[in-house]
Amino acid sequence: MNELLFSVGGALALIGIVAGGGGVLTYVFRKLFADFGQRLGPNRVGPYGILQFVADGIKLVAKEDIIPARVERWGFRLAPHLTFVPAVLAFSPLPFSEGLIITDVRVGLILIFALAAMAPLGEVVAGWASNNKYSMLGGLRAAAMDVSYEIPLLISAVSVILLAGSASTLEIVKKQNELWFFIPQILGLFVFVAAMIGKVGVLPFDLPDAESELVAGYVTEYSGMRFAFFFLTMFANVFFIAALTVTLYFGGWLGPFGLHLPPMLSFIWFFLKAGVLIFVVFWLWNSLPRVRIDQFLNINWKLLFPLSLLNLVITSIMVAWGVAR
Amino acid sequence: MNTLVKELQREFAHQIEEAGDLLDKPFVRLRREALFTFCKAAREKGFDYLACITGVDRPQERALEVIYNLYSYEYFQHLVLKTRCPYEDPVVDSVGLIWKAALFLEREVFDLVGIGFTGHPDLRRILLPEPWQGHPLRKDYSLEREQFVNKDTQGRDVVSFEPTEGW
Amino acid sequence: MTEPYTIEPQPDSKDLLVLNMGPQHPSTHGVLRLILKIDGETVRDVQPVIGYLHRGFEKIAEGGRYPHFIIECNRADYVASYTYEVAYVRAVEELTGLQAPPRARYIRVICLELDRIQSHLVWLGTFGLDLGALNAFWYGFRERELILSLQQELTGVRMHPNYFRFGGVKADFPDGWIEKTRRVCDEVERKLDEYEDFLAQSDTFLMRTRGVGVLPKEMAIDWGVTGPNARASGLDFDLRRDEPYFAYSDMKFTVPVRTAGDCYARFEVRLEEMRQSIQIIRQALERLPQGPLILDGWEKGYQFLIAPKGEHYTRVEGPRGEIGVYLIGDGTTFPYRVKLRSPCFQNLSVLPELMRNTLIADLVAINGSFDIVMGCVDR
Repeated sequence: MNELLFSVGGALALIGIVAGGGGVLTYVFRKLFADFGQRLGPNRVGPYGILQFVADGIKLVAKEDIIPARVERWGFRLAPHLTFVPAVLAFSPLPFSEGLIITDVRVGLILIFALAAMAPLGEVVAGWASNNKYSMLGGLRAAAMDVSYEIPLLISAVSVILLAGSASTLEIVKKQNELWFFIPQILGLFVFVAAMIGKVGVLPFDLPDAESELVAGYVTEYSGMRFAFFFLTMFANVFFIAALTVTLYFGGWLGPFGLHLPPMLSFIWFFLKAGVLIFVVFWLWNSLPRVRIDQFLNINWKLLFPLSLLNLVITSIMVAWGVAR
Repeated sequence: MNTLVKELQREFAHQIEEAGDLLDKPFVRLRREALFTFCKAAREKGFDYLACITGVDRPQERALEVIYNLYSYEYFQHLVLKTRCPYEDPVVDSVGLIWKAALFLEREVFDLVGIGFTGHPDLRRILLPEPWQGHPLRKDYSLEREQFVNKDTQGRDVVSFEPTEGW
Repeated sequence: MTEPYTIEPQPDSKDLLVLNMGPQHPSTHGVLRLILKIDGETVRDVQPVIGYLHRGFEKIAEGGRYPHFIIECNRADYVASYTYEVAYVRAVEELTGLQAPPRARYIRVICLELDRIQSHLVWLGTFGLDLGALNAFWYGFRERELILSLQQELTGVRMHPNYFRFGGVKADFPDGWIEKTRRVCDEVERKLDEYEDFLAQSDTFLMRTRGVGVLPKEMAIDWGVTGPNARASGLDFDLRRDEPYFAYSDMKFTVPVRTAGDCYARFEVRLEEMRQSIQIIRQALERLPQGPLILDGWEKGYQFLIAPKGEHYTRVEGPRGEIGVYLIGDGTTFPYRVKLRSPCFQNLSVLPELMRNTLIADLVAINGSFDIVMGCVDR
C-alpha cells in the first residue's frame, strides 16, 4: 500500500515538476527574451506578470481542439503523448537532493538516455500524421537531429560513468564530493551541452520548428492542449538539460567549496546551479542565429563526435592511471 | 547628342521613324520590325541595362506604344526607345533574350496593357489573376465593372462579375 | 496569383515535392508566394507568384489630378514611402520645368536619407529574424522608432507623409527638430556598431551568409538589379553620386561597393550605407540654407498644375534600388500615364535563379538579404 502511494505520489510530483517547471520557464523565457530585446515582456497578469503562464495555460486548455480534416487522426492524437510522457519520465531518476529522488535505479543514466531516445518518435509521428509538408519536413529534421546528436551525448556521458564508476545518478553526484566532474571533463561538458541543446532543439539548433523556414515544423497543425503538450515538453526539456548537466558535471545538490546545506535544503544548490545553466541556454537562444541543417550535421559529425571520442580516451587513461577517482 | 546613340542612328537610319530629345534623354522611334535587331545592336554597343518598359494606350492613333528605357553603365548614357503596334495586331518582339530584365517587365506590360511579346518564353499575366477580363491600363477599361476572383471546384481561379459566396 | 492552384506533376519532377511557400509565411515578408520543388531539403525549382497586393496605382494615377497621386504613390512601397513620393514629385517638376528652392531641396535630401536609414533598419531586423537572430528584429525596430518619430514631427504622420509639393515642401522644421535629429544620428551611428558586433562577429551568422546566394555583377546588370543589391555585386553605381539630384551634388559621401555578391556583402553594403546616410544628414543640417520652402504662388496653386505635353523618365535612388517614374503629360491637369518602375519587382525577378539548388534555409536567407517589399513589387 505504501509503495502504491509512493508511486502515485511520485508520478504526481513528476507531472507537477514538469508542468510547473515548464510553465514557470515559459514566463522566465519571455521575461528574459524581452530583456535581451530591451522590451518590457509580460507585465499585466499578476505582479510583474508572473501569472502570465497560468493565464496562458488556461487559454490553451480552454481553446478549441482543432483536428484538421485530412490528418491521420490516430497518429495526430498519439504524437503529443509520445513526446510528453518520455520527457516527464526522464525526470524520475534525477536527484534534486540526496533524499529528493523519485526512483534511484542502478542504471539511472542509461534509463534517462533510453527515455530521451524516444523523443524523435513523437516528433516524426506528429510530422507525418499532420498531413502537412512543413510538418513532415520538421519531423524529418527532428529525427535526423535527434539520432545524430545522441551519439556524442552518450559517449560523453559514458566518460562520466567511467569516472564515477557507476551509472546511478545518486552515486555520480556523491562521487563529486571532492571534485566536480566539469574540471576533469571540461571537454566532455562542452560536447554534452552542445549536443543536448541540439537534441532539445532550441536556437541556434531549433531546426525542427525553425519558424522562418518551416513555419512551426511538426507542431504547425496543432492547437490548444495538444500544442501545449509540445510547448511544455520543449521547456521541460530545457530544464532537463540544465538538471542533467548539473547532476553529471556540477555536483548536483553539493555546494561549492564545501558549503553544503543541510539535506532538507540542499536542493536549493541544485536549483541555483540549474537556474544559471538555464539562463545560459536562454542567452544562447536569444543571441545566436540559426545554423543550416548541413552545417548542423557537420558540427555534430566533424566536431562533437571526434571530441567526445577523444574525451573518452583521455578519461580512460586518467581512470586507468588512477589520476582521477 | 552622344556618340553611342549617333552610331546607332546611322546604322538604323532606315528603321527610325523619329528621333529627338525627351528633356535630357535622347529618344528614337523605331519601326516595329526593327526592334529586336536594334536592341541587339544597342546591347552590343554598351547599353547593358534595361531600366523600364512602359506600355501606353493611344486611342487617338488606335495604337499601343511600348517605351524602353535603356542605360549604359559603361558610358553613363541614356536612350529612350519607342515603338508602336496597331490595335489590330498588338504584338512586338520580345527582348527577353537580350536583357533578362525584360522577362518580368514584358509580362507586366502584357498583363496591364495587353501587348503581346513574340518570343517571350513565359508570357502570362503576372499581377492580375490568369482569367482576368481586359487590360486595366487601356483607356477603355471599365472601372465600374467589378470583377471577383474565386476558386472553382477544381481549384482554378475563375472570374465572375457578381459577388459570389465568400465575398 | 497567375498560377492555377493545382500544379500538374511534370515528367521530370515526379520525385520532387511541391511546397507552397506563402503567401502567408513568416519569411516571405508579406504576400510573396514561392512555389518550390524540393528534393529533400534541396530546392530544385522556384516559381514566384506575385500580385496579391496589386492595387492598380498606375490606373489610379490616371484618374486624378497631378497632386492627387502624391497621396497614393507613397503607399506603393510602405517601408520607403518618402522616396516614392519624392520620385513622383520630381518627375512632375522636371516635366513642368519647376525647380524647388534650395532650402526645400536640402529638406528633401534629409528626408530621403532618414527614410533610407529607417528602411534599412527594417531590413536589418527582418533579415536577422529570417536567420533566427530574434533580437536583431527588436533592435532594428527600436532605432527605427526614433526616426519615425522625427518624421512624424516634421510631416505629421509616421509613414505616409504627403509632405512634398510640386516646387517645394509643405512645412518647415519644427522647433528643436534639428538638434533632435543630430542626437538621433549620433544614437543610430553608435547602435550601428552594436549591430555589427551582434551579427557580423557571430560565426553562425557568417556561416549562414558568406558565399550564399552569390549574384555575379554581369547577372545583376542583365536582370536589372539595382541599388544595394547590385552594389554588393560590384556595380559601382549610385544615382545620388552619378546623376545627382536635389542637393546631393553638394554632399560628400562614399558609395560602398563589395564584389562578393553574397548575402554577407549585401549586409555590409547596407550597414555602410546607413553610416553614409548619417554623414549626409549631418552635412545637410550643417549647410541648410535659409529661404522659402516652396516656389512663390505654389502653396495653393499646385492643385491645378498643368503639365505640358511631353514625356519624361525620372529615377531616384531608393533604399532598394532605382525608383523610376515614366510620366506622360498631355497638357491637362490629369497625367496621361504614370509608370512606376519598381526596384523590388526587378530584384525579385532574379531570385529564382539564385535560389535554385540551394537549401530551404538558404532560400530564406537569400530572400531576406534582397529586401523585397511586396507593396513595391505589386504596386
